[in-house]
Amino acid sequence: MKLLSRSEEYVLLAVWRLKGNAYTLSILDQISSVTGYQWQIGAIYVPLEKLRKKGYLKKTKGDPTPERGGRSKFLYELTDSGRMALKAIKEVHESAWAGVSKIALD
Amino acid sequence: MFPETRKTPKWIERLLRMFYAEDVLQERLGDFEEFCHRKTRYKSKFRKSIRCFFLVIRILLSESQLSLYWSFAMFKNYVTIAFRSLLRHKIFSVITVTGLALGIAAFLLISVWVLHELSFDRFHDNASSIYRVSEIRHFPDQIRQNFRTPGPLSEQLKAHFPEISKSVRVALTGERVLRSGSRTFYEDYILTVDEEFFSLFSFPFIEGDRDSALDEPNAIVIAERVAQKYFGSENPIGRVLTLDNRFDFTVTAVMKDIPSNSHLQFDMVVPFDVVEKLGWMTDAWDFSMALTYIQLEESVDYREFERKIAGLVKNYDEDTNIELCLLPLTKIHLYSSYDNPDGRGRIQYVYVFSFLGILILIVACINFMNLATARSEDRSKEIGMRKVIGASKTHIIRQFLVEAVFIAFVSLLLSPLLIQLVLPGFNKITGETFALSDFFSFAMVWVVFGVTLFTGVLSGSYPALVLSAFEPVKVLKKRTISRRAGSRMRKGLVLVQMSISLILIIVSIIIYSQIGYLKNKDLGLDEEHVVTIPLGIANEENSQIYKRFKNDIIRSAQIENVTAAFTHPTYFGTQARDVVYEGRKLDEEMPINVTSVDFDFIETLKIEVLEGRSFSQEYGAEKGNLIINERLATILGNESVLNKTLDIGGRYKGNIVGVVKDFHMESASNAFIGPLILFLNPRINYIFVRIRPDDIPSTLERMEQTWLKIAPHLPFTYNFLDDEFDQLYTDVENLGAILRYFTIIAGFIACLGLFALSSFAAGKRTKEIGIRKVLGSSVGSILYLLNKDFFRLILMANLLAWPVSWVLMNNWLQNFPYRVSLSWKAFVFAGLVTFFVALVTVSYQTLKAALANPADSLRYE
Repeated sequence: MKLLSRSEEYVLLAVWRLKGNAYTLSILDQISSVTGYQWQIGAIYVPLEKLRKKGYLKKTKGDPTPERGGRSKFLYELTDSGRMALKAIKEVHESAWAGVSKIALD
Repeated sequence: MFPETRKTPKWIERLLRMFYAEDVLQERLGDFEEFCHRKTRYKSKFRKSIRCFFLVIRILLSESQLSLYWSFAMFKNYVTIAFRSLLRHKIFSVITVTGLALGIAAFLLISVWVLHELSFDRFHDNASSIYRVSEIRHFPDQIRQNFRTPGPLSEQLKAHFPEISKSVRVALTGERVLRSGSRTFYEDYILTVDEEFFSLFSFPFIEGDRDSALDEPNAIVIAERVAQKYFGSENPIGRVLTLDNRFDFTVTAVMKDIPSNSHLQFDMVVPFDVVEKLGWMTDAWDFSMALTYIQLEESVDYREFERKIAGLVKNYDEDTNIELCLLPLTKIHLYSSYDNPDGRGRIQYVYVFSFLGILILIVACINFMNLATARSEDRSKEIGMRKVIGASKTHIIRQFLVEAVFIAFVSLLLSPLLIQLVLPGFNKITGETFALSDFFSFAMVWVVFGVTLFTGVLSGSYPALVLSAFEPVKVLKKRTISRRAGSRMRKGLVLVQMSISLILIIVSIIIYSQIGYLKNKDLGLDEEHVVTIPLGIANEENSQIYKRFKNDIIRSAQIENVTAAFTHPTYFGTQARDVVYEGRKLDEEMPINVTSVDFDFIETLKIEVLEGRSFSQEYGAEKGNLIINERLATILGNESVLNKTLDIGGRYKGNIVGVVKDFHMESASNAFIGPLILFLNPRINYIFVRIRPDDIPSTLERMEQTWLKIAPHLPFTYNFLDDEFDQLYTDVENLGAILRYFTIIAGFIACLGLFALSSFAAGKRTKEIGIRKVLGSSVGSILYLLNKDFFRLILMANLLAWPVSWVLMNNWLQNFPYRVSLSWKAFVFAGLVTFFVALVTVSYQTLKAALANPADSLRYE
């Protein structure tokens, strides 16, 4: 299986963390708070779309809200293969970082 | 559901709808909305919406960054490939680029001319609210428009209609003698105007104050070039110019030379009273003598106002047949003209030439399409490869469009060269002074880029569609696509191209023959070897000069005859009023021309006398005797009109002593010969001298010496009558000349295409020809084989072009009262010309192919 790119990884992870309340803006906020700087919303549209096409994410239409000018939220949800992909990337990270202590990097 | 809270501007929604599918769009719009909702710290609504707008733009940009990057990379690749393929096929490239460059250059030439025509009179600050009042005269069998109006009109308009903010009369004085010190010239462009002239029109000044320039009754405002002519480099302000050796004027201001895109062309301006001093009636309601320009208040609808003033003249002159109408200043040049106030103006030329430019561009584009699709096999491998790697149909279409636009821009680089080449000739024909910089000026930027882009996209569209449809498997397996692929369309395009060229050729021939017909038409008088000398003004003194001049030179053996008349034969006669014949008021039936002539007028111009006699000194002063033309005689009735009485204006009772054959009194392109009355009177403006055809220079020399002896204060200027008649047709002639040149360009482009196509066709069949020759085919039969397709096309093009051009020309000729009949010869001739040109073009390649050694052609792979 092909590995995820870094932005795809962040987006996928954010969707998993948000558990059922994952829509574009909440994902954006989540990623921004994790990485410590404000992401551009445009920067997550592309990975979101790619992940959806790969079948890692499922998109469902949610309820309209007043903040959105009466337009529906579109909620994202992890699929099984999405979960697998996350697991795979985590393993890659762990094996890549294995044995590297914090001190060694200073 | 919550529509009142929405903040995204509607137009952004509409814009995005073009790019996104519906559900994605809903998501994006929702996001924008929520974003804007979060940014509530801005209090003012305006700042909030600005903020939202930039937010949306930023989101869009950041999302499209990646795809922009890739499109740019691909774009670069397309241009590189286009460039390489241009270099690889040099002959094809030269032909394509030359064809497009010619098309673009021709189009640019035409657009500069058209833009210039459309720019007329727009430089005035108030251009949009200025109108010229003209009159429509109703006669029982015709309506005539006249751009001159009665003298008192202007004042009455201003007094009674608050809608009018300014009103100005302008009268042209005609040719006058102007003198300063020892410098004396005839001046044709002197305007007499009311004081408000310079506040109505914004002709720029160089020196002097525009508000007070015409305050003094003897003030004169002159153009820069006049100042140069009379005063050289000296300061002209305060200098004196003498008009007709009688009136002194003091220069109060200098204007810039009048720009060529002003319909009023003049060199000097004097106060309006001057025309009264010159003897014109400025207070008569039945004498139309001045141009009247008015400026309306901004809010006034001129159509409505026109209805209001239409019947105004009736209030002052009960017998009038005048109805007033308005023409916007910016339309005057295009919709009416001095020689032709009836409104069939230059706008038709603007249409014709714009159409012509587009036709030529299309011919050039077709060239490109044909060459590109004909060569498609060269590119088939590349396309196959691209598709295998993952290019979609859209990508290939995009590639070929980019390539075509690229080539169009390469051609654009060539066009200044071509324009520079033909510019002198173009200026001569159009009578303008365009420079190369006018073609690439700020105003033209849109035209230049627009037309290049349009050419590229149009010519790239068809090849792109054809080439993108290739199936990679087939082309890569080297199973050549059937030769017939796209060949029907290609033939259709060649057909269109040829038909356009043919139509242009036929139209040119017919226009040419119509001009020839007009110029060689029997005018009813013999215009050759007649010298005309203007006198400037009809007064007693000039009559004396004429008499002495005549008595002196008539003794010379070189001079056949001398006469004079009040008007010039190219615009003969002034309109007579109150012409009564046996109780019939003739001038209410149709305009009647009247003019005074001297003895020998009919003899000098060799006009045929049909009935009665010519004026002759045997009958004394001929007071009260008239001669009329045939046209008027038929109006008067069938029985003999000799010795009947005509009453002119109640003052002059005339006895008809002769009837002359109709002769032309104006351009034969405008109107039929109208009715005319001639009477004998010493009031004359022009002298006519019939000279013997041999040794003309010495005759002229002699005339000049005699003139200088008799009238040293008047300049001796002369013209030849036949030249002056020819000049009446310069407009049609220029149309013909431009059409001729553009026909040649269109034909040349079409030939280029034909040449390339034939060489391509011959090249494709090299092997076939080789085999045929080996099996015993003759050169002739191979030539026939290769050429027959092209000739079938030419035949079809003829069948298409003939009816179209017949309809076109039949319509055009209806404009002329005197016209040639449409003869089949023009059509057949055009057909033959195309046939032979095509034969020569095609044969070069086909002959080469037919003569080639079959051994070589069979070995070539």
